[in-house]
Amino acid sequence: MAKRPDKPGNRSRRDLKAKPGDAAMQEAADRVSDKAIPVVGIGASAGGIEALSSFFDAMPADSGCAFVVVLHLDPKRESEMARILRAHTKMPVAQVEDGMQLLSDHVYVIAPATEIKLNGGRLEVSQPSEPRGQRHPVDVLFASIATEQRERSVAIVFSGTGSNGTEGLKEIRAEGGMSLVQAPETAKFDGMPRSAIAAGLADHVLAPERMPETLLAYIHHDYVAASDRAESVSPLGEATIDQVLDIVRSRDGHDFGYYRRNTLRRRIHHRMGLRNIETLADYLKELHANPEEVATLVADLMISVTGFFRDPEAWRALGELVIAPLVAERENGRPVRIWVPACATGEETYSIAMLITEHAEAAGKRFDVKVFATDAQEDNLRKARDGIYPAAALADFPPERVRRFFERIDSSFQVSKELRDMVVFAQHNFLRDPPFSRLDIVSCRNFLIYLVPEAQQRIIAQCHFALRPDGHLFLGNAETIGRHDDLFETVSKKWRIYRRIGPTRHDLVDYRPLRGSPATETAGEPLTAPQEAGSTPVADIARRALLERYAPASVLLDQRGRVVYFHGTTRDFLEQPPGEPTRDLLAMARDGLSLKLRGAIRDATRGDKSVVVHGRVHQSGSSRDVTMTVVPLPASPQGSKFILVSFAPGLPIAKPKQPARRKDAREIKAGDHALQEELASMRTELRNTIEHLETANEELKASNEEATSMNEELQSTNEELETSKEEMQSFNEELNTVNSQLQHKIAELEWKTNDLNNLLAGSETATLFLDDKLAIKWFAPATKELFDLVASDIGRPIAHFARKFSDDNLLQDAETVLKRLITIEAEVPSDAGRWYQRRMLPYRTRDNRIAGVVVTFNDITERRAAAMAVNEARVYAETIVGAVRQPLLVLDGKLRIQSANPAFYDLFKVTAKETVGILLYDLGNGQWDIPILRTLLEEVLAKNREVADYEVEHGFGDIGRRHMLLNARRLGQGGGRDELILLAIEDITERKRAEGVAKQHAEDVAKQLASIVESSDDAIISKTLDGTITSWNEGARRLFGYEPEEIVGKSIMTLAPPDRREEEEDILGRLQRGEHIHHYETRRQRKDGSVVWVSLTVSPIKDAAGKTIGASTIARDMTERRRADQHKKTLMAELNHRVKNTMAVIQSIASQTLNHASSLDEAREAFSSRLLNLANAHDVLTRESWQSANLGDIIADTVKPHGGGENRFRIEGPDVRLTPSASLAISMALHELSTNAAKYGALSSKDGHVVIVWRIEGAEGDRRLVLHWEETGGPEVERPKRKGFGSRLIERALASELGGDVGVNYASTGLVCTIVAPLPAGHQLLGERGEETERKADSDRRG
Amino acid sequence: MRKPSARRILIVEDEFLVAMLLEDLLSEMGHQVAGTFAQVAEAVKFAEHADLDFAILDINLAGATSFPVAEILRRRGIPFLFASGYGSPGLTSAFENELTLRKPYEPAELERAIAEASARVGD
Repeated sequence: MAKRPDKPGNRSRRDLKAKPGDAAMQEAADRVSDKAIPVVGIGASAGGIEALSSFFDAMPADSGCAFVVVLHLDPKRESEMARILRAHTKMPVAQVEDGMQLLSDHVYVIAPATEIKLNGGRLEVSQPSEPRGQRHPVDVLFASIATEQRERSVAIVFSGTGSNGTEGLKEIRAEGGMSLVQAPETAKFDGMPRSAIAAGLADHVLAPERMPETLLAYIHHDYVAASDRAESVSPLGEATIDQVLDIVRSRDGHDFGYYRRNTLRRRIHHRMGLRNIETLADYLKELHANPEEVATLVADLMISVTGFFRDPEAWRALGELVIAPLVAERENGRPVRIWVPACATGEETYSIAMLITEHAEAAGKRFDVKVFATDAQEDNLRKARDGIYPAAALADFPPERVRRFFERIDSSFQVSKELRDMVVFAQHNFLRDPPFSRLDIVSCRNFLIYLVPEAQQRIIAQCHFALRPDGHLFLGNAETIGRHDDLFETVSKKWRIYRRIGPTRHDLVDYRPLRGSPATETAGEPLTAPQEAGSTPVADIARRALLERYAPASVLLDQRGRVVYFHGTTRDFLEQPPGEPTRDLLAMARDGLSLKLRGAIRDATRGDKSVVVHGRVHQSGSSRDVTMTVVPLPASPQGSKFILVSFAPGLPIAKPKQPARRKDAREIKAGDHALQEELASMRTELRNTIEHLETANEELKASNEEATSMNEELQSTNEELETSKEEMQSFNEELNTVNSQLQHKIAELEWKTNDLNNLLAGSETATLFLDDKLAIKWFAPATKELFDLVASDIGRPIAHFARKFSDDNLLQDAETVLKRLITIEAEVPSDAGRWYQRRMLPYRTRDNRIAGVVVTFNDITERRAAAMAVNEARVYAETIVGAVRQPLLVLDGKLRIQSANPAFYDLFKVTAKETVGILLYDLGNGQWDIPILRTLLEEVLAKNREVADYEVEHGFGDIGRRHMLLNARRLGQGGGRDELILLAIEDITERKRAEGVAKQHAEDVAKQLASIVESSDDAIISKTLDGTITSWNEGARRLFGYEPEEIVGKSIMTLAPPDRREEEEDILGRLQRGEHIHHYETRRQRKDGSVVWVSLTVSPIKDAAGKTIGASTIARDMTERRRADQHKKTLMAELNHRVKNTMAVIQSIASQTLNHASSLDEAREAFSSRLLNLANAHDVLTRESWQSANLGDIIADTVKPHGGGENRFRIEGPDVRLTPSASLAISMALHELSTNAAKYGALSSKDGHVVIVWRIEGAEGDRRLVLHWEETGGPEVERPKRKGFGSRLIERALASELGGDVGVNYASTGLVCTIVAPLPAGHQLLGERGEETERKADSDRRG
Repeated sequence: MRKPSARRILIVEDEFLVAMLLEDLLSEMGHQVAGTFAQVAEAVKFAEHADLDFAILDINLAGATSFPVAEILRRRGIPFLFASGYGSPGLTSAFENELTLRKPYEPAELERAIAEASARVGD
C-alpha cells in the first residue's frame, strides 16, 4: 500500500493526542502497514452473549478483519466465552494474552479481570486500574483502537447495562471510524446501546445480525480500503466540496466555508463510507433527497473531541499562570467573565469553571463568575446545559473534585447546580456572530485547527476584541495566534496561553461574512471587502474620492432596520449606546433624531419613496439642525431590500416645504416662525404616532382574534380530551368490572380446587392424571400408595416409575384408552397384598378434547374379601347341606321341590330326577300328600309361621311306616325373589323305639341311687330354690336329729343357727345363679339346739332342659376333725415352746461349761458329754411318753457311759417314779457326779466302784427319799478349792426340781453324796408339787 | 452402795439351768440378783415387799403364769420384762405391750431390754 501523504488536518488532530515530533511520524508510518487489518472492537455486557452469537453467525469468516471482544466477565471464574463463540464462527477464537499479534479473520476475547489495549498491532493486557464496578474496559479498548486505527476503527456496542463504551465511541467517531450500536429493542439490556445513541455517537443502530453487512460495506469502501487513492485520484474537487457546503448552508444555515478543505473532504468521505456511497455526485443526490443526512453531516463536520481537563498539563499551566494571578488580583465579589466559544458538550466550560472555583476557594474569595459558553449546535448546548456525563468522563478526577462538583445519577454524574448556574449557554456562531466583550479569559481550544488560516486570524482578532486589557486567551495545543503577535503577548508558548496587549482594534473586527461566506459573495453586492482595496480600479478610486468629498454621511439599513454599512462620518448623528454593541439605527441615533427617523423610515418603506425630515441634535449645550433623507433602494438580485439613510447638517432645501412656510409667515410673526414649524412638525409626528398606534392596535386586534380562535381550538381540544378522559374512565370501569369478575372467578376456582382436593383426599381414591404423552399431570395424595411419587415428579412419564402393584397392562391400556376413547377396568393386586380396581378413562376437557388419561385406583380389598367370604359361606353351607344326615327339602311357594339333599334321596330311595321340580304331594305316588302337612306348609309362607318339631307318623310304601319330626321355615330371599320353604325331615322311628328302652333303664338307675343316698353316712338333703326341703335321708336324720316327716316341707333355714342365716341365704342366692358350692365348712344346729360343724357341698339340680330347679346339700359332720385340728395346733405351739426352752437350757449349759472350763478341749468334751446325757434322759422320758420315769432306769442310763464297759456301779433301791423334770434333774446331777468320778474319783482308778442306793424313809407328810452316792477304791479325795459348775448344778437341780437337799462329803475313801427329797404320802411321783397334783397331763406343766 | 446402773433384780424362772445362766449374766453386768423363784406363790410373796429395781419374769411357771407377779410389780412401779419361749404371743392382753425377750436370748439383748424396760417406766 502506498504511503499515505500526511494531511495537515489529520496531522494536527493526531498531535493533540500523540507526542509531536519525528518519533510520532515514524510510528504513524509503521502503523500504516499494520493497518492492513481493520480492527473491529466489540463491547458487550449483560445479554451480550446472544448478540455476539447472532453477530458471528452472520459474519463471514473471510472478512479480513480482526475482532476484539470485550465483556464484563466474572473475575473469579475461568471464561467460557472463547468456547461459546467458537460454536458461532469458523474463525479461530482465542482468549487474549499479553502481546498477542492481531491477525485477520481471528476473534480475540478478553480474559477475566483484565483490560486490553491495541498497541502496534498487538494486544496489551493489563490489570484494570479502576476498582470493580467502575471499570470501563470497552472504553479503554475503543480508545486504543481509535488511536491506532483511526478511520479504520470499527466499534460495536452490544447489549449491556450502564454506559460502558460511550466514551470510547467518542474517540472512534472523532477519528472518523464507524460505530455500530445494537438496536435497543433487540438488546436484552439496552443500557449501553441507549447510552451510546443518546450521546449521538451511533453511526448505525442495527440488530446484531444485520451489522456484518454494514461492516463489510464500510471496510470495503474507498474511504477505508483505499483512502489514499480516494484523496489523490478521486474527482473530489473543491468545486464539488463547495456544492456540498452550499447544500448545507442552504438547508441548515451552517457555513463551513472557512473550514479546512482537507478536514471537510475527510469528513464528507467518512460519511460516504458510512453510507456506503461511492461517488460524491451520489452523495450530493443523497443530501438533496435526505435532510437528515444534512443534519448528520453537519454534526459530523462540527464534531470535536473534548473532555474535562483535556491535556492536564495545559490546564495546570492555565491554573498557575492565569487563574491564580487573576484570583489574587481581583477584588472579592467582583465579576469574572469568561468565554468558551465552540464549547461542544460543555466539558471544557465546566473545567474552567471548576478551576476558577477551586482557586477562589483556596484563596478564600468569592467572585461573580460568569462563564459564557457558546456553540453553533443547539444539540450540543442542550447536553452541555444538562451537564450529565458518564462516569468514564470523570475517570481521572481526584475524588474530592467529583464530590465537590458532581452528583451521582445512576451510573452517570451531573454537574452540580452551583456550577451550572455559573455558566450561560447560548447558541453562537463564532464565524458569524459578534463576540462577547470585557472578558477575562477566552478559552478557544481545538477549534481553530478546523479553519482556514484567514478564518483563524479573524477569530484571533475577535478574541482580542472580546478580551478586556490584559485578558488571556487559551488555545489548543496545535493552535497559535499566528501573525497577530501585535495583539497578544505569549504567556506560555508550550501551552498556548496568550495575554491581550494594545488598545481595542475595531478595525480588525469584521462582521462581513455575516451574510455569507466569501465563496458565495456575489459581484452584485453594493459593498465590497476592504481587503480588496489593493486591486481596485482607478474609476473606483475616483468614485470613492467623490463619495468622500460630496456624499453625505450615510448608513445602509437592512429590512429589519439594522445598520449594515456606515458611510462617512456619522459621529455627529449617531453614537453607540452603552452596553453591548448594537446595530439598531434608532438606538444609535443621537437625541432628537430617533423619533423623526422612525417615522421617516416607516413612510419610506411603506410608500417605497424618498422621505426627507429634519431634526435637531442637542450636543454639548448647542443644537444643530439636521436633514435626514431616507431612500429605499431597489431590491437586490437576492431579493433583500436596503434603505439608505443620509444625514446632512443644516435645514433642508427641499422646495415642497417652502409654500407652507410662506403661508405661515403671512399669519405669524417672524419670531414665532421656528416655534410654529416645530409645532407643526410635532403634530405631524403625533399624527404619525397615532396612526402607527392605530395600526399597531389593528395588528393587536388581529392577534387577539388569532389568540381567541386559538383558544377556541384549545378549548375544543380540551373538550375532546375530556371526552377521551370520560371514555377512558368508562373503559377503566369496565376493566374494573372485568377484573372483579375475574377475581370472583379466581376465588370460585380456588374453592373448586379445594373441593376437588378434599374430595380426592376424602375418597382415598388414588387418582392420576396423565397427559397424552402419558406424563404425570397431577396425582392425588393416595396415589403414593401405588407409585413412588413426589410433587416434583409432575411432568415425568409414568413409565419411568416403579409400581407398587402388579399391572403389566397399565401402559398398554392407557394407550388403548387414548386411541379408542373407551374406559378400561382391571383388578390389580398391590405389593402390600391389597387389591385395587384400576379404572382408566379419557381425560376430557370442557370442549370435549381428549387431553390425556384419568387413572383411578379403588381399594377393593374388603369387597373382594367379602365376595370371597360369601362364596366360601355358600360352599360351606352347601357342604353342610350335602353332608347332613337329616333329609332336607327346599320348596317354592307352590310347594314344588326346588332341591333336596343326598340324605333325602337316600332315606326315601328316590333320585334327583324323580324329585326336583315335582310338587311335594305328587312325590313318590302321593306318599307325601298328608293333609295336615299341607296346611302347615301353606301357613309357613302365608303367615310366616315356623313349623317346629311337628311329629308325623305316616306309612310309606317302600320303607314302611315312619315316625318323622318335621321342621319348616321360610327361607328369607332378599331382592324380591320368590320365597322358599326349607323342610327338614327327621326320621325318628328308631329314636322312638330307643326312648322306650332308655326310660326303663333310667327307672332302674333311680332306684339304685335312692338306696345309695339312703345308706350314705353323710346327710343328703334336697331342696327347692327357695330353700324348702324336699328330701331327707337317713344320714341327715342321724346328723341333725330330725325325722324326715318333721323336716320335709320346711325351710332349710331351720338348720341354720341364728348367726348363720345370712350365709344360708347367700347359698340360696348362689344356687339360683347356678353356682356349685364345694366343701364349705360352717356350723349348723341340731334339733336339740346344739351346734355341729359340718362341711357342705351344695349342687344345683337341673331339669332336662338344663334349668336349675333345686339343689342337693351334702352335709358331713366335722366335729371330730375340728377337734383333732385344734389339738394339732396346740401340739405345734407346745413343740415350738419346748424346743425354745430346750435351746435356752442348752444355751445355759454351753455358757456355764465354757465359763468354767480351763481349755477349749475340756469345754468341748464336757459340753458334748452333758448334751449327750441330756439327750439320753430325754430318750428315757420319751420311752415313757413323758409321763414319768423309773428312778432306777434314769440312774442306770446316766452312769452307764462312765463305767468304761465294766460294771463298776451298784444300783439298788425301791421302785420310785419321777416326774419328767425330776428325771432330768436327777439325770443331770448324776451325770455331773459320774463325770467328776471319772476324772478325779473312783472311776478314775481301775478298781474304783460307785454304790448308788436309795430308800424311802418316814411316813405321811414327812415321807422322803434318801439317795446315797458313795465312791470307793478311788484315789484320795480332796475337797475342791472352788465350787465348780458341777456342784452348783447338782445343788440347784435337786433343790429346784425335787425340793430336796444335797450333801457332799469328801471322805478320804471316796466322795459321798446324799440326796434327800420329800415324797409326801399320796404323791406317786417324785418331784410332784402340791398344786400340780390335779393336773392331768404333766406335759402341759412346763413354761 | 451400788453403782448407779446396778439394779436389784428379781428372777422368776422355773428352769434352773436358765435361772443359773441369768444369775451369772446379771452379776457380770453388775446387777444384784434379789431373788430367784421357780414357783409363782413364792415369787408373789417376795415381790410384794422386797426392795426391787427390776424383774425378769418367765411367763409359764410349772403350768401357772407369772402374771400375778407382774401385776404387783406394775402396781409398785417396778420395771420388768418377760422372757418366754413363746415370745409376745404368750402374753395376755393386759401385758401385750410389755417388753418380752424371746428365749433363747443373747446377753446383749438382755442388757438392752433391761435398759429399755426401765426407761419405759421411768417415763
